[in-house]
Amino acid sequence: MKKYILYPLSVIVLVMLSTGCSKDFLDRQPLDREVSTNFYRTEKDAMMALTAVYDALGWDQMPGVSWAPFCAVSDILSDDSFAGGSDPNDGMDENELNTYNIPTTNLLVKATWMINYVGIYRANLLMEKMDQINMTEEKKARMIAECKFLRAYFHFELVRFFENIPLLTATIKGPSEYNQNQETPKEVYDQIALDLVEAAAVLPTVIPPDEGGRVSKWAAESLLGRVYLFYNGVYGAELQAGDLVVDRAKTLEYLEDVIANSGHDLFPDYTTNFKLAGEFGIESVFEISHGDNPPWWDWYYVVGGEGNLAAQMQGPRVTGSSNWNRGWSFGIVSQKLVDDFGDDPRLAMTIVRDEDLDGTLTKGYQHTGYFSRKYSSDAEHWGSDGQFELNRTCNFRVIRFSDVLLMAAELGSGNAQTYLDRVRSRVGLGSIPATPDNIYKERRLELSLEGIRYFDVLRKGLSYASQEFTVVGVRGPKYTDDQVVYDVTFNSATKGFLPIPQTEIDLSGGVIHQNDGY
Amino acid sequence: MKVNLYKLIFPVIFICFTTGLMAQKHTVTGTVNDATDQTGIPGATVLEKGTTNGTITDVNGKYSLTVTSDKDTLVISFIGYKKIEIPINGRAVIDVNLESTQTELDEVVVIGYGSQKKKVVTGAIATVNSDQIEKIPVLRVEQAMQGQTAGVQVTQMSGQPGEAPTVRIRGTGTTMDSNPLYVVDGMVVGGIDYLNPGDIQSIDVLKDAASAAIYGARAANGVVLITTKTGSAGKMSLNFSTYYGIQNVGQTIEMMNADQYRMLMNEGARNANQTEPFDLNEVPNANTDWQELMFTKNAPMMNYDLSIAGGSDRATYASSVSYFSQQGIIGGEKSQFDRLTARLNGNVKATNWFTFGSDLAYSSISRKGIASNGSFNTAYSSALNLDPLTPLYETDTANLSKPPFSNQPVVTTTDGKIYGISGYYDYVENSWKEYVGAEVVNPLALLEIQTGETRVDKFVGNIYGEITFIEGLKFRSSLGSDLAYVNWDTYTPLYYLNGAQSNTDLTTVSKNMDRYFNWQWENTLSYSKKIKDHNFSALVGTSAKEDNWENLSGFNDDVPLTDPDNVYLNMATDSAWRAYGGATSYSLFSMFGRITYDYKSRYAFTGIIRRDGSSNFGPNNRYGWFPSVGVSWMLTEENFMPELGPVDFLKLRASWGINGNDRIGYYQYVSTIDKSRGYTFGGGSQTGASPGYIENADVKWEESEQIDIALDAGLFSNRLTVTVDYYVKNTKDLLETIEIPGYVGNNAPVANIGSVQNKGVEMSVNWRHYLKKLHYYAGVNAAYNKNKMTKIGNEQGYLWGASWAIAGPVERCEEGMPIAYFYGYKTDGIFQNQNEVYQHIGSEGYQLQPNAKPGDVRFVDVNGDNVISPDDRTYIGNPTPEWTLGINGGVEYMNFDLSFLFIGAFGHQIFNGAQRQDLLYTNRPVSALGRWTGEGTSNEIPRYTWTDVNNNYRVSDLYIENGDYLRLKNIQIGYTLPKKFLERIKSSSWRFFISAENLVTITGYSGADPEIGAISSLDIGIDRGMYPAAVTFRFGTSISF
Repeated sequence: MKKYILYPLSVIVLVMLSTGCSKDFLDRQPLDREVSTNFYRTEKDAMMALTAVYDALGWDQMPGVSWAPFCAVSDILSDDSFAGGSDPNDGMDENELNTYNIPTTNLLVKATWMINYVGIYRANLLMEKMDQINMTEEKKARMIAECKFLRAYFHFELVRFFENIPLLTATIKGPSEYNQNQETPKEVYDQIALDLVEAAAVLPTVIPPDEGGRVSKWAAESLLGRVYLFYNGVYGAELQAGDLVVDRAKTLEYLEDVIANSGHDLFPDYTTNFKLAGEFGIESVFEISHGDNPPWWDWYYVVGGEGNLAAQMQGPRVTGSSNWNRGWSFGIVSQKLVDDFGDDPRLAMTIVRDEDLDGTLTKGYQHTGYFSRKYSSDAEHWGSDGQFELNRTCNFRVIRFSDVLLMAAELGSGNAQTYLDRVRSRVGLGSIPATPDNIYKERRLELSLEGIRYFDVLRKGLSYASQEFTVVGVRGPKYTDDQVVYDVTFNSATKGFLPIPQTEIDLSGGVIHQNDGY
Repeated sequence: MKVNLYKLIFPVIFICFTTGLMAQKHTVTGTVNDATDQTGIPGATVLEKGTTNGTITDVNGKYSLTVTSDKDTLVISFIGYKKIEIPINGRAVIDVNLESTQTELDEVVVIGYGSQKKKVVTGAIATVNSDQIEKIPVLRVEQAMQGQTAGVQVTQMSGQPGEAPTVRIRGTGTTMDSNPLYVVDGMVVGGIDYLNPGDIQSIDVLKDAASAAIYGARAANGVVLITTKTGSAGKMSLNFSTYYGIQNVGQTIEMMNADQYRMLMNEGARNANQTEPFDLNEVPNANTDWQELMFTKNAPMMNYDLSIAGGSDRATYASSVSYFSQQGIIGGEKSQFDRLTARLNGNVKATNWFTFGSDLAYSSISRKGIASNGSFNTAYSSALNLDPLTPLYETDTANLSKPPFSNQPVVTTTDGKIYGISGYYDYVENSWKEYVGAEVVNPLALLEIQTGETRVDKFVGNIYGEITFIEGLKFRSSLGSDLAYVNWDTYTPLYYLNGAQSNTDLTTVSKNMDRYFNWQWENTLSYSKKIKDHNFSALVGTSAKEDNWENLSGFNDDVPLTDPDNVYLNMATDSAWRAYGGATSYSLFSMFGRITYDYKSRYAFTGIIRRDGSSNFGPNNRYGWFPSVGVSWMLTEENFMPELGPVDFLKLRASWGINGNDRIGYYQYVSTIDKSRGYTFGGGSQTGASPGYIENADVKWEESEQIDIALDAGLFSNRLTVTVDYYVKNTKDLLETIEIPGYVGNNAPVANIGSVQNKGVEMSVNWRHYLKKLHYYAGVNAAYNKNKMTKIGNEQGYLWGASWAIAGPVERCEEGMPIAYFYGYKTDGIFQNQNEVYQHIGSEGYQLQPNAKPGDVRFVDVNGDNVISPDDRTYIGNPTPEWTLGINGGVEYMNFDLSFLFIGAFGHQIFNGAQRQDLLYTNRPVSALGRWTGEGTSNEIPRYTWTDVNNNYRVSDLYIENGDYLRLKNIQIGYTLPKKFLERIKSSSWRFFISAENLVTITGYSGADPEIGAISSLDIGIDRGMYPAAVTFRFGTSISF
């Protein structure tokens, strides 16, 4: 009878099914996407992962939080810019920064915090995955050096804005690691210095044009100069990069190396720095790229695009012009900066005045009559496609060669006078003695509206900051609002640092502490 | 083989043939009837006693048998009836009444991988059978459960044809997918819209964890087992049924007319110190009733269903074809559902130890839909908000010569009439000035440009083979597949509805194709044995399942024609080709076992264990165990129990079990790589990639633990049956996105952190009584369910739920509260005068609403912090009904029958958000005229002003209304033609009916329809101007041969 053959057969089928095939059968991977467990294998994967780290550099917004381009945030905090916007309600968070009356829930603060940690996470992740990537050791070394540079850059942004931050040299793996301590500033700065020193030793000295934007040895050395000046200025101490003490002399050595050996130089024309023609050019030691490719429409995921959001925010509210279009008039320039320029020729290269604009200008909140010209909604930088607000194409020059010259001069280079003269003569100004005051004043004018001023003032001490940032009763001829909306008083209690975002404290289980003054 | 086949197909003919051959001495004819309702019993056996000479009754219960002598005795039997022996005593005509041995307790209940007599069922299983479904012809199978069983809440999503209703078994059990698992003839399917309700034999709902445990990791939201009809031995029966219905809107909302509107707008302007926009002495150029224009009159629906069934003792079959078509009451054929189905079920007993069969079903569905419950761009929302001054068609030639009519692609009818646009032409500024703008547009114009159709071709098939080794020991293997192609396409023409809603650039066409292919292979070995009064059964089995989905979609622009029904991608002339495609795959492998035991049906025990492995979980948590036990005790079978008067039986049940829910999304345990991380280097844009979120490899199923304690009773000769269930269902490990610190540097992972509790009582009481010619029945089922979030694992302690219009979230989910409760400000009436504004102070003596004016809303400082701020938002209502009710009944007398069904839901609120308070110039219901206009005029409706400095219309309890309703879901009157007539045309039954759906709705709710389904677990009971259910009248007939 057939059924007596089938009987054991059916039992075998059952047993087989229950033990054998189930493991592989259930082990599924997404079919149309890669996952963290099967990505990070090839050189191409690694390059995409590295690109993602650079991507965070270009984030002028934190998804779901706020727009917060670095230079707009930094300049609004300084005496160079007011909050602006269309009306008092438009830029409430910006105005809180402007007036140093910053609640711990300020969204620009939170965005600034989060953006930089996104970059740190991605840099750490790629370094952790490097072992499993099939690629030459030489390429790996360069990528690791780039990651270290970028990690240092992000940490530096955080520590100079927030002072007391968690230092992350590895990714956070899971719930047991969610509560991180704040490290002392020294720990953080020393790690930044170490990352930069190590990066500088490996990074290439020449970046081919098609790799423009990837960091070089010179970028690392120059950034170290900026880090040293701020750290030494605020804390009066030297950096310790592992075994290497990075003091004034060592820092200067790095900067002199850049000046002597990098091949970087000044553009003959100052304005080339803010033109498409100058992008990744000879004066750019470190530059963050922006663009309109892919053309972007999605307001809900702005960072998927590459546009320079500072340019959108700071542009004048002009319609009907073929030279300017529809900015939002944030970060509006102060009379104080204009006064400090005096008759310096760089004034006209730095700002736009009402009368320079064609088309119809709608005056916004805290109108002063001046807008930034460096990162603005000018026609040269209009995106060719996509939602125009999200596709402004100006690259952000983080470190220009003139900055390097002035840093070296400030640190007491033997060539200080030459360096200062180079910067001045480029814009047709005569020589003045290379005194610390003159060098410092030169920085103010040469580098204004590039996000540098706020930290240059803070590193001169709180009484100086108080003197510079407290601006009451100053009124320009084009000011339209009541004087009270232009009056700003610095809050020394915060030492100029931003509050730790409230959500970070709430979620930290009591580990993260708020900064003084908040 | 030939002989076998012959036997297989023509047994009836064979029997007739053989009996015809044996010309004998005495012939008896007669009818075998059911003793209770006097209907003929088809298929009953009539035997000459002591011989094999016999026959079976025909479809009308008639028989004719020639016996050896007129002194013989007839033995008449049929399953479920008492066997009867009747001496012929020379009679030529013998009519017989058989008495049923069946009670409700003998009914067979489908339990998953088998069936069980109700008597020994230990879990909570509710059954809806084909009789009930036939009484209330439904469009979708889910609706057949509506109001029929306690604890199964079925709520329509809207009145849109074909839209899936919300089905909740014992409350909302998760913040994610709360829909039950649907199993059709053993095959787990994604949805049941492909089924023809006429094909359904029974729907068995496994409500408690013990019953559902056999479906393990997918059973936490309950399991619905659907069994389709199979044929039975006997002559082929043929049934044709059809109905035609007309649908109209039931309740509309009385809106202000042009005069009332202009008056109120002027008042709004006046209160805002603005110029009054209207001169009331002028005759308005229109007085449009948008609802009157928008609702389709007598929207048709129709159904045709042809089925045949029959078979022999070797093979049975049931087959059907059906066509259903329904037009919506909004948008007519723009909101239409068509379904064609074909089915063939067959079973063959090939040998006495081998049986095989198959269920094959094909469905073709076409669905055209419009947005049914949204604040933006929905026709009904526009109809409720557009001003009455806008004409349906703009005919003023002065206006037509001006923008936007002169220079924009304004919408026109097919015969060239131009739809009106809200506003007027301002000759001073030379531009069109809108009254109502934003998303509020001419609803007829909006419907005119509506395109898009979803077409589904679905094939569900299942084949099985079953071997019986020895009596009671069976091996069954079944292989099923569910293949579906879903295409949807849209075409966006050029249009200009108003300044904000337009597409003036390029037409767009998009096509999307999805292929779903799921298969399932199940093997079970079962054994049942009866030893004296002990009944045992055991089942072990395995199940493997795989679900695959693949998608391809394409878009392009600039299509040079405007026939929206005939647009394909190739017609597009732009170069902006975009294409997307993706795929997913899911697998499940399970082992399960069940043991049942009962002693004389007095004590019964069921134990189930299932182990599921799901590809939705990572290696850390891939497998889960799901156990359950259930016991029952038939008290009345105990010798020590005294007679309890009218009580026939009393049964206690108790069960405990754990179920899972693996429907948490694919691959949650691993982080996918997001490639939208580009950066522009000198050489150009480069793609960047990094994980989309922090991964949590420990993600696992949600787990639901439930106890159920119940009592079943029968009284008065089982005419009255009562069932009461009490249950507590705790679902834990709900998957939520947790909050993590920003310095982690990536999006947060999901984790199993929440829990929710549902507990409640279900009662159903049914009375059924057969008198001589009268049969009547009535039933009430009621369920009370208390839903509570018991844990929200994230740091902030709540989850945001649904949003409304531009006001942001109006629902949230919080520990200790019902899932998705209404969250907003509490109000305390209207400030009647300035003094009341001054007196509205906090504990520190400061004015709480210093900017308020008399007539504005007084908000409550709930947290006592001396300011009215978002922190004062609190619980303002619960959208989930605490009580759901179904009442059904009917009478059958002579050839007439009447049946009705009421459904109701109580103890919940509705957020009435049909009005766009955030926009100026929107029309309002007439009830808005009861606004505050001076001291003492109103304490509920604030003054009407265009500068709402007090923000009177923020989300508050002013929007909350009592949602209780009782609805006459169906009432039906039928007439069956008399038998004498039917015999002449060889018909076994021919019935006509008329029915009405949603004829009466008793509610205090002021919106169009209080029956509002849940869009998701966290979007419940918000009326955004919902497409209301139609009132339908149907006429139909059903004839069987």
